Amino acid sequence: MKQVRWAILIPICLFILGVNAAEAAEYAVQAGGVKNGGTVYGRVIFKGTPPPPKMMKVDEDVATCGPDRPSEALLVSKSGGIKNVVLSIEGIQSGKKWDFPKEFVYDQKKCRFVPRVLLIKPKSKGVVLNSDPVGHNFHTVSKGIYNVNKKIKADAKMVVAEDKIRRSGTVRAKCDIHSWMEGWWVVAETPYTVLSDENGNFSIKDIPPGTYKLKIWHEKLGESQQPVVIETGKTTELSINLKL
Amino acid sequence: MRRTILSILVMAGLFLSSATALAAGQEVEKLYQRHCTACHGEKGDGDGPAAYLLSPKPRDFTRGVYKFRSTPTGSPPTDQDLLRTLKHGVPGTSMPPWDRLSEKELTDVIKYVKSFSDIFADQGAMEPPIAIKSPPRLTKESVQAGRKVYKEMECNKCHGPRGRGDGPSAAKLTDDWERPIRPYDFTRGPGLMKGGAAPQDIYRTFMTGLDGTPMPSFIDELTEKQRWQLVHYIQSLSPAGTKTTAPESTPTLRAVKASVDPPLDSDDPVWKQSPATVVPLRPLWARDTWVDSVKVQTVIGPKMAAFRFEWRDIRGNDEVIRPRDFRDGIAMQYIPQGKPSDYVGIPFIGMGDDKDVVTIWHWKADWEADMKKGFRDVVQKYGVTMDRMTSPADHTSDRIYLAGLAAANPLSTRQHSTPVEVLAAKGFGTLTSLSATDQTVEGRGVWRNGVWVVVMRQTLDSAPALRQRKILPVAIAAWDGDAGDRNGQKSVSQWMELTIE
Repeated sequence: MKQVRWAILIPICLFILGVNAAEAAEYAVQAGGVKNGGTVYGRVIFKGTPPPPKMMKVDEDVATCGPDRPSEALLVSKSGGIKNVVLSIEGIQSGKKWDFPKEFVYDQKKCRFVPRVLLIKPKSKGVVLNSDPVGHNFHTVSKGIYNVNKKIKADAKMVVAEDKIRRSGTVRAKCDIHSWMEGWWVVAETPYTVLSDENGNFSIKDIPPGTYKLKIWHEKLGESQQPVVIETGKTTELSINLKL
Repeated sequence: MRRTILSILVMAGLFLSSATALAAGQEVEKLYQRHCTACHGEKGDGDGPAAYLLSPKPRDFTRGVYKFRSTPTGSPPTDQDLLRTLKHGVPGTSMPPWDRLSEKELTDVIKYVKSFSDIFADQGAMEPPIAIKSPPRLTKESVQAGRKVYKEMECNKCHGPRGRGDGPSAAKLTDDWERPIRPYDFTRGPGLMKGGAAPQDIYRTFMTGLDGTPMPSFIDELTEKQRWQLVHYIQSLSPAGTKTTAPESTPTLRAVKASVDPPLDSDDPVWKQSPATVVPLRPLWARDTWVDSVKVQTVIGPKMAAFRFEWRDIRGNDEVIRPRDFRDGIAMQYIPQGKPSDYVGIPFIGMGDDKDVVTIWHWKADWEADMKKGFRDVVQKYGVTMDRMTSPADHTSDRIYLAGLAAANPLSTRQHSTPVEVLAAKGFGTLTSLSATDQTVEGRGVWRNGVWVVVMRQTLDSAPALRQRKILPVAIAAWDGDAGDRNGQKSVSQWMELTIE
């Protein structure tokens, strides 16, 4: 009888383990908490002279959307800082808890996505607004992360339920009526993920000491990475150069 | 002892069931590889070797994004949804109906297709189908009200003010793979509505949206009453009105035996007595007009078998002298050997596969014209002599300039003994012309008042399958030279059964 019992027990155990593994895999970092962690403070700088932004033709609902506008795909400050760069530290096994907002808000205002780049975690819930007096086709494109296409009429909204954003990665947002509208949702893999501000500055806090990979993503400049060393209680300063 | 036996039995049972599961898995993999891989790719990424010939492109299964669903936007389709697409195909595209595969085989293929994306295993992503009630009656008032809804919902921005697919945003639309895509022109009628043309189908299409395309879901935008009003308005835009066509299915061809051999003359009375089947064709590269159907008849005499093809073509193209000229043509492929009874046993529709050779008879309008009027090229037609080819007398013998002819390429010959080229193929990209001695299919084509009628004929000694077999798998392709059709740009049928009485 013994063998039979094992034959039943082993698959059950595997099943339970499997489920746990799957749940853990959803978030790469165990929320073990960090005491006296290190900080990365840095700046992302555009190397060379940024090209003049492409003019986007506004040829639909001009009364609401306004005139032709420069593309915001690459925003470089006067001193060369790049906005909307996503920076994340990879390879941390156990660290801080997610400190991302509980719910996100993504707006469509004057036929523009606000913010242009949204940073969220997997399984986030949130709401997509339409603050315009015209309708939008809120359409997302991704590799199986979150793909919807929904008409949101004037002053209406769309709720994104908790389990819809399936995993980390990038999701492109577009509107099929207003072809110039561009937006991105970056679904972070770890809580150690931040967005650079309009001067290209960023900081990542509470990092357990160690040597890690800093992953850098920008919608137009692509993906790159560089090593980063974190020491207990110290701030590591970084200057990151990106070019086209 | 009993325990040991029991555990051995349990183990054996487990082993056997997994072995049969494995065998079934291999079976369905073979089925997918045979019929689906050429377009949808071995990895299901929609990038098979034939994909470049197709528009719209074959579905990339790896993203788990599907157009034709009963579920809300963002949610994967149900098995029933996938089954519907497989059974009926997608009208106006290269996806044919697979209605002759068994339900079991289709279910297996669906399981296999689903395995390319993990979204189907994600309980959070799955949502139940949108419930659709029976439609209310269409009235003048509901159509009028629907017209208002159409405008309020800004359908006109893509589909145009009169539903012709020509709205201001139409020209700039792209799908999720950044490929240009066109909004549907409702005035083309219900037959080409990809999501189906019944009132419930139209309702479903705008409620679910077509994920991966610019067509959004309108699920939260409309009251139940408005939704049906919109359906009625869409129906009213179609020239067929509320008439809906049945989903496409694969027809069966019937050959009749005759006591005398069938002639090449397409007006011969024998053709009046033999049954005709209208074979629907689908364009591999979608466009506004194509050869959408061919009427096919088959007569088998004591020594000869003949096929008669009749199709509409507004202009006969039998001259290919200028670089922009392309010929009209019709071709038939069949499997000379092998078991014929089902799709599993037949090779891939795109020219067979490595296990089964297909034979192709390809009638070419310009070859026929060359036979009737004599060979023509730039010199004969325009009196133009090219550089260095100093005179017509000179260049016919100047083999340096006529490499094909010099190499005895059968396609370069100027004296055709028949307008039909006989070819063999065993898989996509393997098309081969048979040797001169095997070019034994006769043909004759007549273009009259916008209609081509072509008869192709061969002796039963050269095509023994037509004598021996009771059922023969046959498929048809047609080329419209006016539309620039050539080679892989053509319209094709699915495999059909030719039953021989």
